Amino acid sequence: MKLTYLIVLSILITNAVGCKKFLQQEPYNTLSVTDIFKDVEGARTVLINCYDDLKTNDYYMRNMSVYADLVGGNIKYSRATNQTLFQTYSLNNTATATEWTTFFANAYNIIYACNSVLENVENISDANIFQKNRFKAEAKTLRALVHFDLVRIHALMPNYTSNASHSGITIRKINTNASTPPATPSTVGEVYTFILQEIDSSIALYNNSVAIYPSGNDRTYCSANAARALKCRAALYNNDWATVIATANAIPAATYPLITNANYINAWRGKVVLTEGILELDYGNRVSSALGDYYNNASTNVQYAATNDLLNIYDAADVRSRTSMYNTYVVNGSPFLFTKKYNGVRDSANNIRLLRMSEVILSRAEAYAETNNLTAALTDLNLIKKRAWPAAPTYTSTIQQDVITEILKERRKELCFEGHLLFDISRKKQNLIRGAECQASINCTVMYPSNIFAIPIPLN
Amino acid sequence: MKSIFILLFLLVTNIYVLAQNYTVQGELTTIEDNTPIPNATIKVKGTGYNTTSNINGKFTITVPDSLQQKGILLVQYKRYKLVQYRLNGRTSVSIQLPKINTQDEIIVTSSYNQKRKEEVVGSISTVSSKELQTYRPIESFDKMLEGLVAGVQVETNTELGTPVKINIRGQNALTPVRTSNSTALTTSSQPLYVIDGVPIVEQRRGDEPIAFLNNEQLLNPIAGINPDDIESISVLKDAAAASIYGANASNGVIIITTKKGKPGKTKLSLGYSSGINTPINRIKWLNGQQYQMLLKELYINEGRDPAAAELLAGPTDVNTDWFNLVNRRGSFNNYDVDFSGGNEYSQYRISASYLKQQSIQKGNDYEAFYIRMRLDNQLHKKVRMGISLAPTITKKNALDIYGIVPLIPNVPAYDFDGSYYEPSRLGVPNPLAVLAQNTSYHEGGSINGNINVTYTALKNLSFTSNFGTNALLNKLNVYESGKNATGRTKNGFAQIYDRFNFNWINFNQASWSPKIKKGQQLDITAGMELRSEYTKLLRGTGSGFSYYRLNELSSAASQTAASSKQVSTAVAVYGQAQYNLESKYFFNVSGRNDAASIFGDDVNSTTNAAVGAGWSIYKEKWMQNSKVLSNLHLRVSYGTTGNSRIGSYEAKGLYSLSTSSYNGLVGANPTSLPNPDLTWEKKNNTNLGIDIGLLGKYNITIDLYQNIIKNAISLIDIPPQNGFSTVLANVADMRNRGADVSINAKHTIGKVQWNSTLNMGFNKNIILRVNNNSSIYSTNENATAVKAGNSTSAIWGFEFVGIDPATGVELYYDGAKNIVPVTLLNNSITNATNLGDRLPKLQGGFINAITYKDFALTINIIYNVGGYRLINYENERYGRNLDNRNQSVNLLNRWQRPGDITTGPRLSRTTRFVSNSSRYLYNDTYVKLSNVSLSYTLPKRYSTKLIGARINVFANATNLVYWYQSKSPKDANGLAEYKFNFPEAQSFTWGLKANF
Repeated sequence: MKLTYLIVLSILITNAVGCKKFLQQEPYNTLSVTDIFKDVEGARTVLINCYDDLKTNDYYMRNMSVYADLVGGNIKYSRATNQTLFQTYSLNNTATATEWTTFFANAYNIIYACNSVLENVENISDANIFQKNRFKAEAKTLRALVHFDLVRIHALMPNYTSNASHSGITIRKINTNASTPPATPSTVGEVYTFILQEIDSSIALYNNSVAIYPSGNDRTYCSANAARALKCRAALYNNDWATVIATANAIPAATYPLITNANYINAWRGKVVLTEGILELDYGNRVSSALGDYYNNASTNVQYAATNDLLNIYDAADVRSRTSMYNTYVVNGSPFLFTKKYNGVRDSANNIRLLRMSEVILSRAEAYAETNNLTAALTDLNLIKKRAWPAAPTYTSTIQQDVITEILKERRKELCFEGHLLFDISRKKQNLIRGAECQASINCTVMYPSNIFAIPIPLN
Repeated sequence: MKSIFILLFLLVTNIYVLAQNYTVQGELTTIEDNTPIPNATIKVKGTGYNTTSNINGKFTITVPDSLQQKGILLVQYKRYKLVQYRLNGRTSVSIQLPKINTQDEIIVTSSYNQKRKEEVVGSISTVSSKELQTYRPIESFDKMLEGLVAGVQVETNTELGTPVKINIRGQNALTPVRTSNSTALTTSSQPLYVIDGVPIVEQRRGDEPIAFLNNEQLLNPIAGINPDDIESISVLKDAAAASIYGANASNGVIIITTKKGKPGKTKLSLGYSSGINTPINRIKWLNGQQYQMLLKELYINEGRDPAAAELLAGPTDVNTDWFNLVNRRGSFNNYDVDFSGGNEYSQYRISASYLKQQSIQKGNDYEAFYIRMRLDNQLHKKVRMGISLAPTITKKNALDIYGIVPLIPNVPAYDFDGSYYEPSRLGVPNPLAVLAQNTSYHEGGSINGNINVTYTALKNLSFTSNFGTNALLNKLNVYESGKNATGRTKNGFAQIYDRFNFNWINFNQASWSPKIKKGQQLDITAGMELRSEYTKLLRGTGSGFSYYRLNELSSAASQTAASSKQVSTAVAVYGQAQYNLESKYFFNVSGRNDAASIFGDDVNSTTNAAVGAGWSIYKEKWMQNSKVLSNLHLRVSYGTTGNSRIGSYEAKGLYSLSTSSYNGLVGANPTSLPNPDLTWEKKNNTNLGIDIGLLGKYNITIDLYQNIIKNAISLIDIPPQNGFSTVLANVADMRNRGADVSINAKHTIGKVQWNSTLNMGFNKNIILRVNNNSSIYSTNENATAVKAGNSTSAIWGFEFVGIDPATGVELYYDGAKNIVPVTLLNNSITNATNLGDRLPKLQGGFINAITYKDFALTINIIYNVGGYRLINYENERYGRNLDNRNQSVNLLNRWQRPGDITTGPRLSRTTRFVSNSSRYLYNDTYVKLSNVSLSYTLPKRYSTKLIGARINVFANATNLVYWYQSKSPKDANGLAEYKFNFPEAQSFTWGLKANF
């Protein structure tokens, strides 16, 4: 009898004591914030996912990579139905009906992840100071890149108003929880200031850091030079010529030798990084749709053909011209030309090239020309010209505007299908004229200034 | 005065001392189920000797020798009949007491304790095994409950073995407005099922990985319980009854008590029933000729010339009735056997049952094999133990061919060479090929086990410990053959889902009834509960099968796999105190604290409590003489219950591993934004009830209730600048207000006894408040919104006016009540209006049991008043998909030329359509003769003497007659036909039952 009492009592006591431990259950399918930043291996999965997210369809796997060319006049559709991003092509996005909702959400999701890396980096127990610095540096470069993409998609260029005081996007330096609404958009000027600051502080961190990944080519991760190349582009958009020149000069040219003329076409094929590649997105073993699908006849998605506007600016001997750098497919009886920059479909697709040396050189050329250092500008310009066409006549001019125009033309030739044209038109305050090939029913011609050059920020 | 008494007492005692006495040992039990009766008064007639029975119903009484033969024991206990028991010289007696009336039956108020009906201050409805009518050809008891309990709405379905939705007093969680792959939508709106103290696992949890959320079909977890094993079902509807279940009780609690053995000789019962079922209310599809005519017209409308259209539309002389080809006469077979018996120390019951049900749709059937064993044992005079174990094996074939039935009719079923004809341009399979070549079946089972020990330490103090488990296993195998369109592109596609749920529960409690003043009683129960739920999922897929008959995953050219594991634990402390004064005034306080495992170190806990009071007015002296009232009892209760069933871990800021990789490294994606403000939903329940008995014939129970759900949770949109576009938040307050009415009448007309019950459940839901007054909308297709002032189950859509006779396009009312053609309608759902509530205003049943001599007839009528249904628009949408699939015959009444007054618009594939149009809306008011059964018990003189058993034969028919308020047009389809996607069936069964 007493024994039974004891048993009952001891059961109750054991229960009470065991409770706390009993209630602590670790999740198996997901990881909590505290768990994931416990060690280097966990923390780097967060950064890895940021790179992975940059490769999604609504980001660099399509939208961000084709937008400027699609709208700028490098691309026309090879088919009349199922035209991907046609609303964007027609510059017809509105805040409530837009093809950019997913991009916008994805971009801020990447920023959220970067912020949480920065907020939790000190908790990574097995990381040394150099590894922590690399975590911080990459998170800063990545969030600068994403803020930059957001501001160039969803806002007008800094020179739209004299002091860049027009509305930009919301800067997210720290994560807040659901109960704190995010701040209202900052001005474009403030966004650029933030981006450039972030890049500068990341460059300083890279110098005191070590790699944190066990595999992958260095150039498929952010680096000091990637940060510089990004800064070079942001400064160019900001008309900050001195910064463009200084930053471009800081990138060691020997590390990123230009692709040779002989190798030019083959270099774009496959998953290897370009010799001049500064930041590329590893394509990996993805089996779903790839950027190449839109340019390759082997895919049902093929549709982004080159416009004659673009094809006609090349000299026939140029390696980038229609005869060498383009595939011709006949669709419904008409031939269409597709760039070879994205050769493979699906599993065999290429890396996506975000930053490469040719762009840096052309940006520097433009900055020299804008600051009236025409000699230096022409050296850079001819370097790119002659790489593509060794026998090209050396371009010379003493008229600043002519040099600038020629550099922009070269930019279009060299960087087409890599997401530049519309931004170049917009920051140079040019009119958008898409001519007779334009397939949209509206906005084929847009006179500068126009707020159509920014896609409205999506509302829920 | 006092001293005189003492003197008298001594005197009397002395007299007895002088006389010769002997003692009688006795035991008191109820006549119904042999449960011991404690605290009953036993007197020796004509003497002053008396005693009371102990907690086990045992008593010892002194009887004068002189009365050894003729002595009579008077046994009295509360609402039981006074029994006069003649001793006849016995020294050991066993007395059974019959109840005065059913008002006093002991009912299950929770797994933690039982009470007599008069002591109940909350709102509880009970259904006995007899009332459940388990002989009906229905595979699970939740579907059987339809119409039987006031305030319990069963949203039944026509497909075998699939989960059923039950709303107790309306829907108590928000209707999901957002669909998201990774997060829970809202809290569960389903009741908590508890079988013999063990909660049944709800199968799906919101935080299961995507691979499982999207494609896996689920079985009804309740189907693992054999309805024949159920002794009674209690439905706990208000806080006083349910708050002891705390954080899981918001949607009500359904408690199932299984049968147990009774002392006495072994009883054997055998049962068999069998039947057929046939389709009713089938959708009328276009025949080949009609189809060809409409398709041709569609092509002409699109600008093709008639000759080309004729050619494209296919032959006119081919008419394949796909429905007939894939449907059949279904069958039903059920065998059951049970043994029970025991002695006063141990009782047992073992039952086994086999059910095989063939649906009217080919490729769909259900098989179940149930066993249940229960042993109750008096181990020691103070220790009782009960053990039960119930394994179940279920098997279900569920080929999805009903989605494919509306195949175009003017194609043949077979090609000239006898192979299955497949219209290649459609990319849809021939359903006959699907039947022959594909498989989709569930194999699984469940085990419910339970062991409990009660130790009666003192007369008024006992301890109970209960340990129970509930395991559920299911394996779903799906194979889509490469020989037909379902798996052609993948050259055969196989999927296997393996689901394992295991949960256990342990509760230890003490019950104490301290002695207080006479005429007062206090019962206190306190306990602690531990619970753990474990879910393990595994999924494998394979594609590329080189040989069609080998379709195990190992033969697939490429394979994928996914798995998931989830563990959650909870600890609860609960207690209840119940006090009554003179069995007239009852008070009850109960409460429970639940602490549940969140992730890592975070532990969340919540407390729910309730108070209630009851007053048996008819026991007051001034009521005693009433000739009309035989019962009058008032009940009132207030308290809270919670709803913890949500994947609320999502609110903590989690990362999940991505399925893709970067440089061969896996990434972790932030999946949810932390929302520290997220709190548990809480429901404030108020209940006011009255039980009225009239003339001993009529019993009326009315419960008025108001339930306010505070901080209802929904997934809402937030600015994406937060990093996420949606977050789970407490967004709204909502109210369910209504009444449950149950009227029971017993009539005796000669030898005919007629017992009828009318159940009515009235409910009205309203969303009281939405955060920031910002309404939340779903997609047009889901037609749902969270908007203050409206019901959460309202259908949001656009009001259809008619067809414009001039142009043949649909006309709608726009926001400003102007009539506009569909082309100009702003059909953003934020512009939609409330078209009606999905849930009825009133629903219930009218259940009749009529007996005459050895015949018994039951008639179940169920009804629904109000409630709307938005049917699948694809059946008659403009003929939009006409080239791909067959459509409803309603399409024949279409606009053809200016001036036509029609119900359907001009055929077109390009005109805009509105999925949430009132054109597809039907009022679901109906009355249904849902079940009729007639049984006959063979007279004893034949059966018992000849076979040694009581034989009962019965015939049963379901779904006999439907009456819908919205009538179907002649030769066309209406709600009756459109209501269920899976064809509805009518069934006829017969059976016999032998009790040895």
